[in-house]
Amino acid sequence: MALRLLAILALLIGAGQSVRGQDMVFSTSDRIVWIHSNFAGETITLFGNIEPDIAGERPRGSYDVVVLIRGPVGERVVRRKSRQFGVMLNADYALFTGLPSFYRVLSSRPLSTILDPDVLRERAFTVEARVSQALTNTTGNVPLFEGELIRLMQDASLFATAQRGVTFLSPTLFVTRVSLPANVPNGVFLAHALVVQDGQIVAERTQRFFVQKTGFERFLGEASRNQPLLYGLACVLLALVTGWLGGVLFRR
Amino acid sequence: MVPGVQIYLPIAEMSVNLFFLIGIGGAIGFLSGLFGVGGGFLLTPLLIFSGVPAPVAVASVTGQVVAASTSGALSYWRRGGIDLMLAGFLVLGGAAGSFVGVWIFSLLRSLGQLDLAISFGYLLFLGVIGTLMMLEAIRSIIRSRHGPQRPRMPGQHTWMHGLPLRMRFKKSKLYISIIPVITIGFLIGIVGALLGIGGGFILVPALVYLLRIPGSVVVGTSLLHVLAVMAVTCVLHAVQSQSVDILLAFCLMVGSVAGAQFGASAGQYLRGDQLRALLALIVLGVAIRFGLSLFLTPADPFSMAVIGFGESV
Repeated sequence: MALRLLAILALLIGAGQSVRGQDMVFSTSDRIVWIHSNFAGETITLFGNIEPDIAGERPRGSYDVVVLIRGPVGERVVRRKSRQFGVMLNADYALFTGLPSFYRVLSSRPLSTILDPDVLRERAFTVEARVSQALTNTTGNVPLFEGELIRLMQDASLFATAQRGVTFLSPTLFVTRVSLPANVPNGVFLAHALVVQDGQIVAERTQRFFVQKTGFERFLGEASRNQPLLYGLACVLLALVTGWLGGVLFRR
Repeated sequence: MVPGVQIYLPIAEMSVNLFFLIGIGGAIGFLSGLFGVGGGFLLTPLLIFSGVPAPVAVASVTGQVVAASTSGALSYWRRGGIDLMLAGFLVLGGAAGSFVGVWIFSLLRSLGQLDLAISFGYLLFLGVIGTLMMLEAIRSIIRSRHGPQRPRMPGQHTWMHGLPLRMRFKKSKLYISIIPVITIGFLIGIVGALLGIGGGFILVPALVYLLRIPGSVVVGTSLLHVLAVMAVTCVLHAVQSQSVDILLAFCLMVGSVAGAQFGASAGQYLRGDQLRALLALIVLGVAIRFGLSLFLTPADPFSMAVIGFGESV
């Protein structure tokens, strides 16, 4: 791990010398986060370096950086229980489609102090904005359900905002750490870095990484979807053998 | 939380403490060995309360119930305590009921009322069964204080035995209609698939009181029925909802198979009626726990679910 980070750092500093277009380099410590049988979450590190622009001018002034991490999108429903006929029933609901199953907004300083309000509104990358984009159908009070979804996702460590989550190691070199919880969804993740100066976005870069099961866990996950009948029969067979073996082992 | 090894469940997509899983499997196995029931009715709620998604819990427990019934059924089989023909008709009804149950299960899930139905189902079934068992146990404890009593005569006929399609069940020494047999199997199959329980604790009294099946074959036959119907249910859940977590099921199996042996030996030190009273208390406790969740205002009225497997709102 430490070695890999060093290698990335060396790469970044080396790349900083070469003039290749505008903006920055941006990379993750892990291109693939493997989910093993004892997976209990993992922290990945993202690095970036702000580079000279086309004219080869050295970066000037101070920068801020915003990093967005987005997991695979899907549908989620939030339901509210209320008392009907004396019992608690699921009544109102709100359906969210295209909702990231994992979302992090990390910035070097609070968003409202570094970004122009117009830019912030136009880009709509805050947790609140993503949620209200995803709302497609509801039978209840809209702001209420949006707020509750954010709370539930935050409780599950799937959504988070860190207003000082990006650290500058030098005026141009930034680093951020993202902890993926044990319940992290599987799939393609996008890490998006935005360089901000004087309230405007001056450079952007996107980097992909994958979260996937490996080995036996992957085999089981795929088997349950592709061969459900065989999978079910295997489960029953396993149960029969375990039960029989237990009877043999413990027979007095 | 217990310190120790985390294990990642590939279908539930969550990480759980391995010792916690084997531990609850063992505890449930102990109780099932003690009382001679499958224990699904305790295991499924326990898993749901500890954060496993309800569909995964219900579907995976079916696998565990198969394992838990296997060793019991085998030992009854060796002793000749199984009426194969009776079990055959029960399973016929049970398999059909399990189809219906799995279908209702996915229907309720798409309506967003699965939690409610599971809570209601547990409250209703466990409440009624627990109360009946408790009354019966109290009565027999009181009776045993007044000296030995005459055992109930098997072979007495009720109106159910007079229905058409009568068949001779040699092992049970009965000549009865197969309609109530299949119906009982069918109803328990539905309940089992819906609630993730084997239903042994409903089936045994039903066979004894409704069909007058003699005590020598009732437990073995019921175990075989639970085994077969739960095996069918497990495969159906795997195909229909793809929510059987084989790793979760296996951890539970290992714990419960081991725990059952200790439960069975502990059971020899308790009297039958005391055991039944104890079991009734546990059953009523679970029923009350579900009842509270239905009638009390929850701390958090909001819940969130991922939509998948062709569900809609």
